[in-house]
Amino acid sequence: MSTFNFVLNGQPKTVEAPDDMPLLWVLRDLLGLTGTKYGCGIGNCQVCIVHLNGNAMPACQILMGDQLRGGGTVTTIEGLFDADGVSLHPVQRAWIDEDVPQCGFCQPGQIMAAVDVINKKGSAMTDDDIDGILNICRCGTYGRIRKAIMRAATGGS
Amino acid sequence: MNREAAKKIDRRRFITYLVAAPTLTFVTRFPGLPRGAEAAVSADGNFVQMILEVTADNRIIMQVEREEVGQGIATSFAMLVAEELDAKLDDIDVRLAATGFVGGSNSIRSAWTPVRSTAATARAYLVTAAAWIWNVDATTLTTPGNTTVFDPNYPGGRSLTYGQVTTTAATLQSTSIPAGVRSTPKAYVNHNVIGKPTTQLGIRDIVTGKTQFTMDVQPPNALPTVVARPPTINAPPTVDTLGIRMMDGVVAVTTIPTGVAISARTFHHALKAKDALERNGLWAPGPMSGVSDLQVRTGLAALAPEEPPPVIASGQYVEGTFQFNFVSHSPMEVFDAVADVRSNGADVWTGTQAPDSVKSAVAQALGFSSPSSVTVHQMRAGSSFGSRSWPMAEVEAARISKAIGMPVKLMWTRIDTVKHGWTRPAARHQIRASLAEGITWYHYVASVDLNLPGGDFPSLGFNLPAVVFYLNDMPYRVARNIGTSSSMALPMHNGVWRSVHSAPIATARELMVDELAALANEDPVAFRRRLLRTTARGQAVLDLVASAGNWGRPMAPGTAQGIGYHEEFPYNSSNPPCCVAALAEIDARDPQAPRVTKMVMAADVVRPVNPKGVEAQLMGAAENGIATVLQGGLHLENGAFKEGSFGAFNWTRQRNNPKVWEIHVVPAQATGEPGGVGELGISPAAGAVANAYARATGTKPRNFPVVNF
Repeated sequence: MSTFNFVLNGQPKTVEAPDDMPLLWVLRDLLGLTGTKYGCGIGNCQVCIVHLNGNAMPACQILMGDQLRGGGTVTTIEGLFDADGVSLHPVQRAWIDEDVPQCGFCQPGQIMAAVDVINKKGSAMTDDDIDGILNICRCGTYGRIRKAIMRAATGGS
Repeated sequence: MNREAAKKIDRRRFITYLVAAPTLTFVTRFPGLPRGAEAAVSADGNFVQMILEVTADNRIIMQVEREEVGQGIATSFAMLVAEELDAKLDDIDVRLAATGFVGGSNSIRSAWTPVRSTAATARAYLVTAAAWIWNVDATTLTTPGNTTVFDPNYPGGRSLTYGQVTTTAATLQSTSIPAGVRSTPKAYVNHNVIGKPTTQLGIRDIVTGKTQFTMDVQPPNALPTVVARPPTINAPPTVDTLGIRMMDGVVAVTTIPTGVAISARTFHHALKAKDALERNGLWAPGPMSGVSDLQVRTGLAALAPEEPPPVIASGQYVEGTFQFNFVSHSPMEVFDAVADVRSNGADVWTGTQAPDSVKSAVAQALGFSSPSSVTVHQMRAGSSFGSRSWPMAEVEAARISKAIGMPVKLMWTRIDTVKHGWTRPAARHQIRASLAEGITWYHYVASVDLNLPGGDFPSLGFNLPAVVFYLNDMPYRVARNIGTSSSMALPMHNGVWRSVHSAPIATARELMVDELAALANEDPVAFRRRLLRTTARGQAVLDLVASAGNWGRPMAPGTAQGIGYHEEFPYNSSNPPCCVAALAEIDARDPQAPRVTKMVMAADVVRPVNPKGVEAQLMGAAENGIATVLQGGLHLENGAFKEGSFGAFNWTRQRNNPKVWEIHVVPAQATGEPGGVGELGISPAAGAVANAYARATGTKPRNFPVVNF
């Protein structure tokens, strides 16, 4: 067991956890933040994507001792807001505009992955960039996900 | 109502009664099972119950016995009520109740008349109540669409909200409703809500991560729990558990019929112990040991009749033998359940298509005399595709909770969901089709049983043979259509996978139609057009995809277009069938890495309730078709599936899906009720993708998935 101090959704957080505990279970079982879902536990389906120090990563692959020993910044779907810190993030709004979700289970991860790519590519976003997002959507709403990402990236309507 | 009386009620009849309550509350019960599934659930489960209440604070509460798995029924149901009660969607709270059965693309079809009728009746009571309060003629009052009754004849007009009149309405008798007050559903031409593209309810909670699924509920002291499972399917859990009991964080270890349950402080601790036991334990072989794909394929081939019936002419025929691998259901949310078992009852939290079966199975596993001792808390489910039709995790969670005397949160892993969960059965299709005598069509299907033979989970109770999926009643006009099927039992978990046998049937059929068109020297679209049984509506959707998709445009080598057509739930009811067509463009320059680049679909579902929802279902279904035809399948090796993740199972990601989607939902016909939509789109898309692949590669695809069969 070690003590970890890091910033979670803008707030300082201290947790006691084993070094080999994945952030996914720290979030869900120790901190009660359930927006980040379990999908496979091996970094394959990407459903548990969060932002670690500004980069998208599956939370099941972030081991506390490896990645957060010296602190760090974690953002989950619960901490995603527009610049005002209150309103929905533009990607979330695009998701509503395109009526993207079906079952909804993979959508927090899809949105966190999309935000990361948009942060990096901005309005220069291409279809090939979207192809690089590896998140599984078992319902298959990929077409609407693509449209929503393009909408958010271009600030379009 | 007794069971005998219940059985005689056909799907168009229903019973509505007013409940003695302080506010206006109706209960409606209607037959809700898809054809042939009656045997699967208890007599009570043959009926869907809806409770519709108008509260004093002017809310409309609709409690309905259907599960939301992402197919959008909560939104569609709310639209039916909003339409007939002249309310806004925001005025309605839809609650999913814990009974009923979801399957067979049946939810909207079964609810269409009962739900609208109940809401229309409620509106008549509210209007009549307002008339009593004002002492005016009820037939002069209107409901303008904002949950109020309006009196246009009063100087300046006046209004009462539904909430203000609901207690009065609750005291009325049906005989109190004046003849001139409409209490039946609106004429279709007056629809303002039904048929309008509508964004789903609850979407804000989904995109902010607030939507709760089963693993997100946390009853006090519920222990994170996983089950260590044997290497092969249905093997007994004969393994020594001593080594894991002392592992860090482990609270309880208990053996259940399907494995060794480990309850721990967190899932991290439970998963570590599971991993250790699976790696180091000495597990016994199970009943599937020694069975691999080869044995299954050989067994299916042996089922086939030695020779198909002779076709009428010699020479002028095409034929093919098609093989389909097992396909995992793998819902995005793994199988899971929360259970709190006490000596006199149990609470179970789960997202299930069949809550009545859960109650029965859990009661039986716990030794309770009555299913009513089990309370099911219905949760939204992270997709299903048929896999939540039977209790699995619920039974395990209940057994574990009883054994350790604590509430448990049981979660399967992804690996187990693929290796030990439900699958679409492997199948082998033979088709011979002749051009002579106005086309003779022979289609035989051999599959692994859909039935679940024993084990710790309850059986479906009957086998769904492929022949019932319109094997001898296809959408094309042929002189003779001979379809038969048979199946073989295997001690594994085969279940209804979205569309069940329809998509493999259509994949093989549509490939053969293209090959027959080539034999006849006709264009595939023109050939289908000429043969369609549902002439005008069928031709309309075919023409729509051909025109929107620019059918016949020049394509580069290694790329091609393909067409697919399908009808569903045809010919067995007074309602017309759903007609659906798909045009796929594929890039198969590398035949081992094909990608559908564009998908154009058109569907006439007779009367779309929510066109946005229909479009979503078509898109998702098409993705299922793309995945299963081109790349996604399981491989059985010595009693276990080799695959244990979406990656190994090769399910599609964004990079495997079309960059361009174009989906047309045909506006409502003048008459007719909504058709079923949930499974409709897989078959035409699968057929179109298979045909596109055939044309792009110059091959005749026979084994699916075409990559890594």
